Order: sequence, then C-alpha cells, then structure tokens
Amino acid sequence: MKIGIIYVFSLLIIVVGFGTMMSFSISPEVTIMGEWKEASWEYERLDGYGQSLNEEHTDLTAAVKNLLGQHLVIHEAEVWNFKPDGKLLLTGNGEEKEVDWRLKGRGHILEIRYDKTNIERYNLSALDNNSMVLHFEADMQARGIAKLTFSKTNFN
Amino acid sequence: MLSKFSNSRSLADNLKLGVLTAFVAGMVNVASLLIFFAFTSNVTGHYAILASEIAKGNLYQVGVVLSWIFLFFFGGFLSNFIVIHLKDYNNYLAHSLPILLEIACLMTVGVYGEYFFKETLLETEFILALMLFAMGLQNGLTASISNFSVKTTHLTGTTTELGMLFSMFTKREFRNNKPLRQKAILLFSIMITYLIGAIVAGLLFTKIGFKVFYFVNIFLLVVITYDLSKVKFYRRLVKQKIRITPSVNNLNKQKAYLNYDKLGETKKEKETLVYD
Repeated sequence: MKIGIIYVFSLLIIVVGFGTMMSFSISPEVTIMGEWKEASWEYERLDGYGQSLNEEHTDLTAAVKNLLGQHLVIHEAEVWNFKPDGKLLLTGNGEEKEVDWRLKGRGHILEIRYDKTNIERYNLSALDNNSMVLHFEADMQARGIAKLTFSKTNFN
Repeated sequence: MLSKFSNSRSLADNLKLGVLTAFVAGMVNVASLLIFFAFTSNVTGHYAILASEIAKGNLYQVGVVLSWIFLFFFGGFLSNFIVIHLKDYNNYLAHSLPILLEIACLMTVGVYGEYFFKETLLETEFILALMLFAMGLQNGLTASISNFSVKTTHLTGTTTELGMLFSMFTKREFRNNKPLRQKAILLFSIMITYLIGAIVAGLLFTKIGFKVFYFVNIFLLVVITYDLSKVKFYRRLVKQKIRITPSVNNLNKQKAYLNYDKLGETKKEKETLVYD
C-alpha cells in the first residue's frame, strides 16, 4: 500500500511539474507568428573536403542567395509574414506569394508548401521574439549548408 | 509466442516474437520520421536533443522531449506491471494486454492522422507521444517475457551484442556453443526484420500515407492471434479429454454392473449403479 502511494505521488509530481513548465513556455508555433525581414543569407559550411569561401565572400547575402536559392520558392522573398491560419505571405522584388507553412517534429522543422508537389523544409535552428535562423541543405548547384537569418519587424 | 514466460521460452518462441515486433518497430520508426521528422522507436537520440535544448534554454522543447522520454519509460513500466501482476491470474491475458494497448495507440494514430489531422504542432507532439508510449509498451513486453533476450525497438544493444558475438565466433569453443549461436541467429533476425520493416514503411507511406499504421496493426494482431488460436486449440483438447474421461468411467461402471449381474443382484440395484 505504501509503495502504491509513493508511485502515485511521484506520478502526480511529474505531471504537475510538466504542466507548470509548459505553462511558462511558449510554443514555437506562436513565436513564429508575425512579420520577419531577411537579414542575411550565408554559407555556413561546405560539404566538400578542401572547399572554402573567402571570409569576405561569406556574408555576401545577395550573391549567396542567388547561388543557393534560385530554385527555391522563397527565392524572391525579403519579408516573410507568418499568419495564424497556416498561410505565409512572401514579399519581395515587387512580388507577393502566398504559401502554406507548418512546423514539424518538436517545432524544429519549418515546412513550406507552394503546392502539393513543391515542398521545402528548413531546419529552424533558433527562434525567439526578435530573431529567427533557418538552415537548409543546398543540394542544387552549390552543395553545403546555408543559413538564413531574420529579424522580426512586426508582431501579429 | 506470447504464452510462455522467461526461461521456458524456446529459440523459436523468441524468434517469432522478435521478428514480428522488430518489423513493427521498424515500420513505426520510419513512418514517424517521414511524417513527423522524429524517431519514435528509441529514445537515445531524444536524450541528446534534450541536452541540446536545455543548453539552448528552449523551455518548450525541453518539456516536449521530456514528456516523450517519460512516455516511453511509462510504456515499459505499464507493460511489465501488467505482466507481473496478471500472470498468476491469466498468463495469456497478461502478455497480450500490452499488445492490445499498443494496437489501440497505433490505430488512434492511423485514424486520427487520416481523418482529423490538421498538421498543427500540438497534434504532432501528441501523436509522437502516443507512438513513443506504444513503442515503450512493446519493448517492455518483449523484454519482460523473454527475460531481456528480445528487445526490438532499438538496435544499439543488438548491434553491439552481435559485434561481440561475431568476435567470439573467431574461437572454436564459442562457435560450438549452441546457446551463443542461437543468440546470434535471434539478434541477426531482429536486425534484418527491423530494417525490412523500415524499408516497407518507407515505400508504403508514399502510397498510402497514414494507412500504414493499419498495416502495422495487422502484424501485431498476428502476434496476438497466433497464441490465441493455440490457447483455443488447447482448451478444445482439454474439453475433449474431459468428455472422453467420463465415458471411460461409464465403461468401468458397465463392467461393474455386469459383474453385479453375474452375482445375481436385483435390477433396482443395477440401475442405481448405472445412473450413479
């Protein structure tokens, strides 16, 4: 009987502790909502041995974006507006594109869908109220891992 | 497959259980990876992720990953709890109840995913939690009833043990050791069927989506019904034996009646003896 009480009590502590912790935290699905402006596109690392970019080239946002992102849905986008209904408004170069967005896993994968066949996935490496960092593996012309950094401009 | 316990299990019992449940675990793990981008048949990676999220200070992710690990633990706890507390009452029920719970969990995932899933993060987290609980149940059951010989949801230990066994087989004395050879066969079969299950799930998912979980449940039903059929057959056999036994008694009584008849007993006495 005594051991039963200890087990039930332990389980209660775990459940209450978990509930308390979750009540103090915010889901990434909420944090990501709002308007984000692209701050930079960078090559974080190359996957080929001996390949490297000179330091002065690593933050050439436009050049890297053109090189890596030309086949991506997000290529022209400069401002990303995440809406609560699962829609993402991509604006840039005078164009506007509406796509669907979802978070997967534990909130570490951002999935962007242009249509049923055109789906892109980004690793959501960092997300807080002011900045967001996405990583993706560029496997088109330039292989390696690219890093996209955003800063929040408007809270929805 | 399920009715025998611990050391009374043969290699064949463990092979059947190991192969079927490893196939299921492989399927579930790849399905969860393809749909939700998270592993569900093991928690080693989740511990690494937990540490990384703690270091980053992501409280929400820490909570989510902690709950996943806890549910895998709780699945193992509940499975063994059922086995050790119900086995004196009904061995088959004790061993099949965790599988029934696992079927219920995976069926919920399949039905919810197919008809209600809106792809929100909260739904994803709950479904993953359910799958981790189901895998904890399965792992707890197989390990419990096989005296820790069969663990099918993760292959780290299996691969390590296989590596050790193959190194032992470089010596003749170990090569000729039957239990060691049997263990190698069991572990190798688990490894291969886990992989096959994973490949099948990968191929099926692109065609049938969440219905892959119905397919998974078919294999779990085989695990349950295989022994159920044996239990029914055994019961039928026992009943037949019971039916046969009185008729033998009646035969003896008839012989006794004839003997009494020879001794010139009254008819009434004879009838009493026959219907007794």
